[in-house]
Amino acid sequence: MQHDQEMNALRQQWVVESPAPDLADRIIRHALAQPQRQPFMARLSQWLAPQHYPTAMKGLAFAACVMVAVVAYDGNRTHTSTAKDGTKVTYQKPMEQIVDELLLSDYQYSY
Amino acid sequence: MLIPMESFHRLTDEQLMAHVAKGDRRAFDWLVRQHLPRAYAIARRVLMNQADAEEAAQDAFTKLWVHAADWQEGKAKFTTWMYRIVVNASLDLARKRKLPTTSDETILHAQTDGADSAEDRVMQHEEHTALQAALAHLTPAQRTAVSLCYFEELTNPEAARAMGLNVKALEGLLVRARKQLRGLLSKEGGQRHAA
Repeated sequence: MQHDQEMNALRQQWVVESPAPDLADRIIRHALAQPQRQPFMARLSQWLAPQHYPTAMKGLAFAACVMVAVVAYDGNRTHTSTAKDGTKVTYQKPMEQIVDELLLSDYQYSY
Repeated sequence: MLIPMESFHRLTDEQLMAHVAKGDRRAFDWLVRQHLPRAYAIARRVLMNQADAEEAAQDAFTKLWVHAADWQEGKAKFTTWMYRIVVNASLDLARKRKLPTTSDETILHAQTDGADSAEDRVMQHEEHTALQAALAHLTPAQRTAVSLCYFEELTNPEAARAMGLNVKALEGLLVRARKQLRGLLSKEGGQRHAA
């Protein structure tokens, strides 16, 4: 009850003026001067449109290569092998080996 | 296909917004004129300053135009989406302005119509000044919550959605705002009576 009275008093006293008469015009002018943004999927399909295809494919292929390289390098950085006497040896693989393994090469490394 | 302007008043806000999303400038013009008074009032109460409120309203409607394609018909009410944009624009500006706490002489109109004596008018002016000072002590988020719930008459869940909060957090803001206002106004009142 007291809360209602307080809020009614606040409502009566906290009155704000109407917006300036030209504010709507100013806002409309300012907003319409900006280009509308298309949603993500529309932008993507436009980017993949025939006229943009070569650039888009180059970009996507490059991004895929970078991603594969990062994943491969991170996941295969070290290798642990057991020697004849049972000693375990962990070593860091060279980049060539990582790339070769990734490409499923049969090349044998000798150390 | 463009729809004739005469039929705009028969369309819902959601239908108009769908036209705005397709780039219909006249539908945008119509929506701005329909909703500017409420958007401006929210920004004005949050920011307590006319120039900032105009800037926030402009930012909000510009975002509404630029990102119109992100609005999906049927997913939310247009007004909920608009309130969210206006509240965000106002709170962003409040952060940029580092939470103004100075009192604003123009925010409250002295309602002197019913006052029949100079003494009444002085009393009313003092009350308004006290309220103004008390409101300036609230945080912008508290003023937003009060504005949405008590002036725009949104339900708590609607106001919470507009502010990007959960209902409990919104209720917390309202409780703290009421408590703070009550405390500040009773202190002011006591000082005035003592004087």
